Amino acid sequence: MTTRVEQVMGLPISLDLRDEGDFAEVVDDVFAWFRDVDARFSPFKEDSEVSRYDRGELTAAELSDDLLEVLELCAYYEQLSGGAFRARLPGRGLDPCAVVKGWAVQRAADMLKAEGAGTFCLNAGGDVVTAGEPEPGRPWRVGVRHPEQPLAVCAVLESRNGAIATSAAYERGSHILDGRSGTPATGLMSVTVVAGDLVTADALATAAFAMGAEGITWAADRPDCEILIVDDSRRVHRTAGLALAS
Amino acid sequence: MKKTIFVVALSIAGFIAVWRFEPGPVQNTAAAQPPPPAITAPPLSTAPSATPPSPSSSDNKPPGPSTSDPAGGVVTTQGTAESSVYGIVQVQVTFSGSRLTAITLLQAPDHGRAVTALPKLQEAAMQAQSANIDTVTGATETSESYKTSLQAAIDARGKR
Repeated sequence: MTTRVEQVMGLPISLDLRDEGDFAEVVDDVFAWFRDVDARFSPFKEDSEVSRYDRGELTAAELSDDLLEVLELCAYYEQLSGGAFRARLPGRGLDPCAVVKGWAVQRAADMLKAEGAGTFCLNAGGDVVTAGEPEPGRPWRVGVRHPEQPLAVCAVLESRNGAIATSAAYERGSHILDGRSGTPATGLMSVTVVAGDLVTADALATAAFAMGAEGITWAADRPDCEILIVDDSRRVHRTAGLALAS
Repeated sequence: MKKTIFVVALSIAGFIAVWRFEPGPVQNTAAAQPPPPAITAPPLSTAPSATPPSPSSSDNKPPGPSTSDPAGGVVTTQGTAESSVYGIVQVQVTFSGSRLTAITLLQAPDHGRAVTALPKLQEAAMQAQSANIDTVTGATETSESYKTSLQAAIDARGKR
């Protein structure tokens, strides 16, 4: 049993690993990976690969495979969302953060699994990957933060070997922009997406939030996820397959 | 040309496989562990103002052989219309030489799953005790907000 909390990539990252045995080395590797991702992909660090590419100091041919993968994911979700999700807004620098977070955390979860860990919950700034179940027969219970009350939840979801991401404006104000207009997203209070992996969950949650009200049906139409969305008039929208804890 | 057809067929098969994937409850998807569409998604070119990976750098990404086609001609192929549980899906794939440059959805399901709209947030809200949950999903993005969050309380419990 290992727990570790660190502030990395500008996020509080919590690991709750329930497997018996010594996983100290891979846990160290996981947090080193997060620091590495921050150094390489943060648009806020002048010497990061992202910043250097954005300034034209690196050509596309010189980019790492990791950054190419991230940029391809950005392009994919930009197309899928009709431009509501954008890594590069007019007049702004390249900012792939919305994809980097889910991608990096999913990669970390895969690192843990590759070293034999099968029972853990990894939470990065409210985006969650689960593996196995904390007790035999019981799935991980994931509270969905109430958009208006920091210490309350508005639902509890069950998760085994899955991913859950939430996009909302209650924390840093309207920092998510609708890529189609370049203005802050409006219409939704919070978007929670459940998917098989965190790349999908995080990108869909961000894109749906950026879309506003139309993001509800857009996300519900995606075959690979379940949603729980609270709109501005405080209505709760969810898909039937959502695994609510009883 | 044979290579191009092969690559087109592979791309369409992959794309349709993703579309036809039938999600179940979280427990079932866990058992199935489908590859995330993000990973199977081929590189797409997008608006010029965006950040498309350069041709030279994405040579390792196409699903098929990626030797350069000296002709470099543009080939556009339409996939067959496939029915899925969500409706008819048909894609069009464009190649420039051996490089996949565009995927366009010609037909997509025009109706999705029903979304239940519950009356009001208050009725769904519950004062969760941290003892009842293992973790919290939400936008907890600063160290300041973390300190006073439910997640911090849960993490503190784990340390005991």
